[in-house]
Amino acid sequence: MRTLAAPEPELAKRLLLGVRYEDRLRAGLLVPPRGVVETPVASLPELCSLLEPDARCLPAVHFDTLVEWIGGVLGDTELAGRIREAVREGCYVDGCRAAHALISERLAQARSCAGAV
Amino acid sequence: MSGFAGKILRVDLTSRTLERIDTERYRRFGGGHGMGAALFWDLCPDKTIQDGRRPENVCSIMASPLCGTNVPSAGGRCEVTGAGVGPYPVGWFTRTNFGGHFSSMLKQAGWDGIVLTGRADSPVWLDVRNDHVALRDARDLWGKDTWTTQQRIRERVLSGADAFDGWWAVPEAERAALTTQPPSVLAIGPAGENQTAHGCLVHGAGNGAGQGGFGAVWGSKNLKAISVVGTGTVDVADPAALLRARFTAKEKYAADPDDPDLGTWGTLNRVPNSRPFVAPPTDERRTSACFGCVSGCKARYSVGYGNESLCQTSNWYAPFAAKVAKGDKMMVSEIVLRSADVIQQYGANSYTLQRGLEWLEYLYHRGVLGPGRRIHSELPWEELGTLEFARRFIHALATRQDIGADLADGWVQAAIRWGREDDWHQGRLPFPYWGYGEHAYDPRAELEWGYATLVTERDINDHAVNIIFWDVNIALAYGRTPRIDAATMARLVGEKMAHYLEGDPSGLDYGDANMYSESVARLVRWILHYNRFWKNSALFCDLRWPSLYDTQVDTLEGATASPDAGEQVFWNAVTGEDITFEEGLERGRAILNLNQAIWTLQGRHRDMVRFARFIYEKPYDRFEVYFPFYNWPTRDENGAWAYRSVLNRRLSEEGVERWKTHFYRLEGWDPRTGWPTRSTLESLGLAHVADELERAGRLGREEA
Ligand code: SF4
Repeated sequence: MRTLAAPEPELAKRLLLGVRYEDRLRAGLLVPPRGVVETPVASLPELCSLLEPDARCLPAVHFDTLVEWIGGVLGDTELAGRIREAVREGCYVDGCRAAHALISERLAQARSCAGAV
Repeated sequence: MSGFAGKILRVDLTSRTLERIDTERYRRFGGGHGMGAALFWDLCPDKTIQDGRRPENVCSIMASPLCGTNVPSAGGRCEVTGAGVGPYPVGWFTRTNFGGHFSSMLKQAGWDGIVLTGRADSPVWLDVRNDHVALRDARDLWGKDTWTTQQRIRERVLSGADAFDGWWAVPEAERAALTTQPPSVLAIGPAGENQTAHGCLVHGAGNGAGQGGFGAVWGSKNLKAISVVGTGTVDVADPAALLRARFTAKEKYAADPDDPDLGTWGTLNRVPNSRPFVAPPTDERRTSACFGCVSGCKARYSVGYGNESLCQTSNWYAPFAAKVAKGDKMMVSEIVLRSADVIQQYGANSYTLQRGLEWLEYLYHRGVLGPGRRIHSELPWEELGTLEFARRFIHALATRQDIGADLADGWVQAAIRWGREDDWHQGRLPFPYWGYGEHAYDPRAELEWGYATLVTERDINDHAVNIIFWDVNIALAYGRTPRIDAATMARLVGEKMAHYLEGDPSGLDYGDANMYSESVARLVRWILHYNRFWKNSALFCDLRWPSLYDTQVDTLEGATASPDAGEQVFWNAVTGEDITFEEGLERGRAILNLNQAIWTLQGRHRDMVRFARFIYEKPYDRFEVYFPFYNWPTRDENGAWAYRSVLNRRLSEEGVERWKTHFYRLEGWDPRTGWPTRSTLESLGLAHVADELERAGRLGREEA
């Protein structure tokens, strides 16, 4: 798998700090038998945690919305583009896992970049 | 009267008198909800009651013949009924249910239930030790949380008793009997004492009777707690038949613990799972179950917090804690489970809090709520998501402080008081029915959930056919072929409901063309009649019953109504009755009629039976739905079944009205008003109910 290019410090900071209340990603967690628990996401660490594979629940997110949010609101067009490609194949859970792998990679990059600054 | 203890305890709090009612008089209602409704009918002096905090409210805490037995997932539930606090626009006669070891202990003490009338002039608690019953002073317990209250009462009961080596003596008719069991206590906390709509009843660490505001009902009655200890047993009519059915349930229908099938479809066959709805705080945990349950869906942890909190309570604060934890799942878990403990201790209901708090957060970010704002609040809103915020928020709600004063009567009521009614109409405050928050099974997609709630009085919280959503959509999410195709699913479920669907499973079809049909009304009737008798009166647990299909079984048929392990097999084995499964449903129909008669006297008319406006005005689309598909069995124009999406639609007012007319006609109620008719009530042995409705000028007219 191609690695993502290292983010600029400003982008790294934005990804980690998160966005305003009204700009959050509308997402949730599907927890049987409770249903979908609305869990809006403001930052990349929150998103990474939401998408992390978990036997008890599934992420609840529209991939189009996710890609739009990462590219538009967070301003990470590279990550958005890679996720768009990655979720094209396979089932919904495969898509969540692929998105999670990319987001984990980006999160590690952002953390290391922020640590270096 | 096998299965039954034979007597019900009536406690009149006004006069502080105790009375014994023969269960035989109410036997046909089965137990639980049915008996609670019948007792309400007989004992409530003013059934126009609109607020459960009135002293004329009659609150029952009822077991069933199955409580205290080993009928799988039916031995330990307990039903609470009475006029509620918090629903909108009326505190309808309602119900709630909790598990643990209270109802089984009640049976062992020789009681089928307790019915509370009147209002004490100072705080009391009820002390039940077998036949020895007393009301005791609770002034020193008032203000205490639910856990401290339970602990103090246990100490009080045990301290006066003869005890040695872990055994203690409980008085019986002629002598004392020995037990190792501490009393089972059901208590209210500050949320109930202050008579807020959030008040619930709590037993143990986390068995909560949440909906309906029954904590406020007890608070208004000055009743702090009920403690029960019993040393008897439950007389089972045919123990061999009971054991046979239990073994069949285990061997034929249930999961094999040595070789679990994690992708199984059904209910009875689910692999037991005692995880909370956030990451477990530790691997060191012990499963905790209601009496006699094969499942055990709760846990106690070595870390000492989060014990027995499950489902919504173990999750209600997670979306807020996630912001603070910034991806640290264990931090989310700790904040959420500790906040669950706070909820349990204050005796507050977590169910509506999550949706309600989302709305409050919105108001804060809109600049409407906060210090010095239009809705003044000094809570630390910038710290929302922390444990400290949760503590202060719950304290405010439970003690009527800060915004808790305005929220004490309910969420929709507060929206109206604050001039934010439009938030409710538009779904910002997503409370689609009767002042209850949306449960994630939106009426626009999952029809039975919405309709069943609409024609009753509270979020139905009934997973009877909702399990189809889970099985189908999780399989599709994983890209798996559904283990039961849509046509077979419709057939299997249709066969279980044959009596109602008349051989036509089209009630399962939630496609656009069938949304308002008579067949969906037939399906909802089955669900409600099942719910009212088998689930809420016989007290089979909703997490396991009904069992409509089961992939463990070659034929895919579930245990429900089966001749080897159907509900009626267990019922008959315990009670010695000989009823069919359908006769149980018919009892459920009588109970629903009794409910409808009470609601009618409380002021209900079909014109009030409406969803919130957003259900009619806004499609259930991707801005409201997060899980991107909601597939359900539907038929195409050629009648071919497939799982298809039921998203992106709204309900039409005209369509829902049509559906209501179907439902009322099928129930034998007057479709113009929704009121029960004399002929229907008489056919169910409820002529006295018809007489009272007639006297009140609220008897439905017979259709020509
Ligand atoms: S499944 Fe859970 S809630 Fe239901 S009876 Fe068993 S332990 Fe209690």
